[in-house]
Amino acid sequence: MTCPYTPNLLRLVAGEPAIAERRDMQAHLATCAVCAREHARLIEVWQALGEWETDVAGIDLTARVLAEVSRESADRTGPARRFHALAPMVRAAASILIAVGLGIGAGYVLPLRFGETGNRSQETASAEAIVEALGLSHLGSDSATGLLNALDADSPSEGDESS
Amino acid sequence: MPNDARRSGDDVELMARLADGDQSALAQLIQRHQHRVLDIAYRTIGDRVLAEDIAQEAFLRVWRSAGSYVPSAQFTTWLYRIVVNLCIDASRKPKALTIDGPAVPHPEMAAVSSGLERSDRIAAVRRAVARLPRRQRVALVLHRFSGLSIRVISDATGWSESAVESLLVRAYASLRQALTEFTES
Ligand SMILES: [Zn+2]
Repeated sequence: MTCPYTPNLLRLVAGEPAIAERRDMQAHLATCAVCAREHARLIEVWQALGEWETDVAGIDLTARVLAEVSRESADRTGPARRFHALAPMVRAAASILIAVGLGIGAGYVLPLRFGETGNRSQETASAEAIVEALGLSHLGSDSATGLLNALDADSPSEGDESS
Repeated sequence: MPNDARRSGDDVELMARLADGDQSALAQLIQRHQHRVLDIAYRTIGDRVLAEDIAQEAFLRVWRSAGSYVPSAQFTTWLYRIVVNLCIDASRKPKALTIDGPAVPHPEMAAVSSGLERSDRIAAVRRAVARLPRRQRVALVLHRFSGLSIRVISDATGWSESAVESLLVRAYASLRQALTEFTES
């Protein structure tokens, strides 16, 4: 046997309803054997669960969280300023993209103009030469794409609370 | 309730200060909320060390998100959402749910006599909660131990109110079955 009122008992046992609604529920319990039995069972489980206390009151996480905040702040400039810290890197990457693009374009166009066939080794040599000439070879990348990947790998990852 | 409203207002103000770089505001938020956060994490995960790690990560996320925080819901609901997500992620890993550490009896219940030893009863409760499916366990911990209403649990988990209600009905029914030995003694 079931009663459509039974799911409301969860709220009653947890003490959610206001006084008027609580009175209505108690009145229903007095007339419905199904709900009265279910209510009694819920109370039993509720009380049994109440025996389990945790001992977390003695723990204080303040120092360790603040230490971690200091460590992360030292690693990067801080969440709000991170974009600005990254901006020069992004500008450098954009310059390289344009320069490498021009270099590759020139690698194709110039040989054609002089009646020669362009090939991969010429493209690669142009890109490397330009990166070298810009003094950016220390960034450890031999192509504009690789350089962007390297920049991406360096970016700190954002915490996601909506996973 | 006026006290809750004032407290919530204080939390929002602390978040604003934190966004401005005032780390003492983070310390105050931790002091206010760490025990509830730890309690949720410990009861859901069952491992004290892991629960502390989860609580620490939750407050770090509060700090990292302070700049983009929009006080559209209660601060605590937002905080619990972070904690719940971390607990769900952690409970997918095998280390969770070992239910370590000594059982701490409720002082008022110490005088209650029963056929079973008190520590056995508490251990049975912890085991029964640990065996609940993940979502039932989260809903139960928030409902029974954190005292959250079904509506707030729904806000904190992103599950509908009817889904939360259904999870709770099943959780309490399973627990009743698992704990028959001493609820009927
Ligand atoms: Zn009924």
